Amino acid sequence: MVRNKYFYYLFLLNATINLIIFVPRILITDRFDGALMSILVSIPIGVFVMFTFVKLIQQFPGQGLPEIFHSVMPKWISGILLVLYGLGWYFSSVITLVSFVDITSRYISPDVSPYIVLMGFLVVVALSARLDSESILYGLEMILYITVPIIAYMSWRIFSNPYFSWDAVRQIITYAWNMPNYETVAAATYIFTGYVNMVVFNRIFHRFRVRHIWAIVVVSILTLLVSIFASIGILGAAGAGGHVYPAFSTVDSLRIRYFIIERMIYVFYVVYMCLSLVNSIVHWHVGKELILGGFGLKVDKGEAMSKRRKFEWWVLLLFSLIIFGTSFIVNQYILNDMAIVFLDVRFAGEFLLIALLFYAVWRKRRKKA
Amino acid sequence: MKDLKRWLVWLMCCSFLFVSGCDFRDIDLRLFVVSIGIDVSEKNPDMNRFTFKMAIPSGDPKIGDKKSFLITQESTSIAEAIREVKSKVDKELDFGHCKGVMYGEAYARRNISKIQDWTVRRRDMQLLMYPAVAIPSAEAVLKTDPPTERIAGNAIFLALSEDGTESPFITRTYSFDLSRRMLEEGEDPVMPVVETTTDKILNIERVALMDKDKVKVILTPDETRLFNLLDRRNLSTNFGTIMDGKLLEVNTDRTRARYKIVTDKPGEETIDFNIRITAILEEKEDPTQLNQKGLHKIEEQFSKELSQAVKNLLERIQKTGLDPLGFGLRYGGTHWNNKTEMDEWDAMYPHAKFNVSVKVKIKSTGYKR
Repeated sequence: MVRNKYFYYLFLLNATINLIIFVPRILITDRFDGALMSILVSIPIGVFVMFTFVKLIQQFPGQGLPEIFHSVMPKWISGILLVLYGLGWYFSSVITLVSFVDITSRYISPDVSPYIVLMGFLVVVALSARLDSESILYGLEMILYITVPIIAYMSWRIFSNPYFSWDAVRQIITYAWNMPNYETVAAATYIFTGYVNMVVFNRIFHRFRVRHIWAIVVVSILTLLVSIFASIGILGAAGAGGHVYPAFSTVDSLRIRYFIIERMIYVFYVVYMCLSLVNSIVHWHVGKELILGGFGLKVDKGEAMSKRRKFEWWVLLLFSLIIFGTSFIVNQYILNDMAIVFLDVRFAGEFLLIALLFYAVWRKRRKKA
Repeated sequence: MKDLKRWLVWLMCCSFLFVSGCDFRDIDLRLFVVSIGIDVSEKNPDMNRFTFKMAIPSGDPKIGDKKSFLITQESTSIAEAIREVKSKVDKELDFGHCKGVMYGEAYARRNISKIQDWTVRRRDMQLLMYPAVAIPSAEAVLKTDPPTERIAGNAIFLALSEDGTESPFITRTYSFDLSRRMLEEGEDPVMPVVETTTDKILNIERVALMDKDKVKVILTPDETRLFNLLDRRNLSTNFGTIMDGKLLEVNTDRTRARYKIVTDKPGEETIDFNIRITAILEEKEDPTQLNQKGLHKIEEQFSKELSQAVKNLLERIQKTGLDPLGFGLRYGGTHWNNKTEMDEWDAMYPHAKFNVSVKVKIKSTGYKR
């Protein structure tokens, strides 16, 4: 059983991973067409969805999504839904990992074959995703304690940089009245999506309850503003759109004096490698549990255990193979489109999830009555 | 757990295979390019003359037996030039420590955007490089070998960054800043000018104002100092004046320049500069002791003369039509009519008036009264 603070860590993990890979790029692409309005709109939507989800999942203490679905729906429907949700959630780690391999070969070591880097990542992620939920949460806690202060320090360095152009930021702010669009709102709400991990981790929470919603709101506003304005201030209102990974280019423009390494990017890379891996581990774990649940494999109990173990390996192997294949096939444009499709589908999927949970709560109440 | 252990051991054994698999080159097989120079070719107008300054790694920087050498290559593109240089050396070229791009004056007056794009695009080039205009040519500047240099090729970076000398005549800019300004609407790029007169001394005392991608005007050293006063905070410099035929010099301690664009009356737009300087009296020819009243008189005279000098500089910049201080971006950032604001600004800037108010405060007269 774990305490409620781990829910905030799950949220924080998604919020920090947000600062880099695809969300800033989508926001910055739309910086002249309503990105700011989308951010403003996304905050109430995201908080509302998260809050509703929390209220609903509280009705099922100690149960994960597989148990909930199986108890209220025919087996085949819940099976299909769970496998789809599992694959969808796993898909975000495909984008994270493939992008991160791309980043590694772009910024850190162009000489090393990307497949070797990917192999290393996959081994770590696949082996760790098999651990039990509690160990993963403890690992997540440690990584966050190490990385979040460094991220805060780097953000502060960016905004206090004398070369940071506040006029460029103001120029973008004057574009705030443009209408938001679905794609950008979907990207901006991704930051709140960490709560979805609760569909599996709810099993181990003890009397799950969320207080201090305001803290989540403040952190999310800060994260979204940093993710869009850090790049705009350093790379320019017009120039920020020209970079493939705006966050990395921004940090590459930072210099730390009086330190062993001169370029901030190396520190940033290590920090985000840790976060991407933990993020993928969490997503794989959730995806794997949902898929196993979808096939009706129970958590423990003697004989079924070894069958489940075997199945687990096959799922993880499939996950690894998909990622390997993806990184073979896609280039950066397809990857960007994939990210957009994922974000859009995910946004709709969240509402569906809420609707399904509403249905489950309704069925449960009727059963009791 | 047992499973996991077995896997990890297996993995560790295999990781040795990975290491030998990649084509990573050791440090003694690398040749570090520390600066690049670009000149116009004299023979062929379509070709450029690229100069690469390379450092040969040596053991201890304290001994000071630094070695560097130049390779010059004429070619149509820089990518081609690098491949051609590669066949002239025995080691792998490494651009990870390349920190200077010198644009020969003749080249910089044409169009630098091609090379600037290359430096940002290429993955192993930093965004923290120091771009500069070189007079008489990039090759001559890179050839200069100052006797104070301890590490091969780093004299020029120490001067262009804030690490080494802190001269008020050196305008500091980074590669990311340059490319940002080249794209930004309403802010024009600037670059410091590096001159070499004898083959031992590098002289950086002027700033080149650019029209997006080519150098248009080079300011005089005095104007450069005033430009730096406007562009950045806490410039430490001296200012001199003559009072009753006697020389007076102050040393600035804190400086701060702010401006506001006032558009109350159409057709009579003004840019109001407000500059505050705290200074210390450093040199005084007149042997009589100063009193409070005399100090005020000195302050007033400094304020008046500096106001006039700054106004002259701003008007000179205005006549060239360039906007190195980013007035246009500020105008865009404070006006919400995004479609028309830049046209308005373009119409307004040529006839805008400058009101400059400089307030010099001498907070101490040094050890003597």
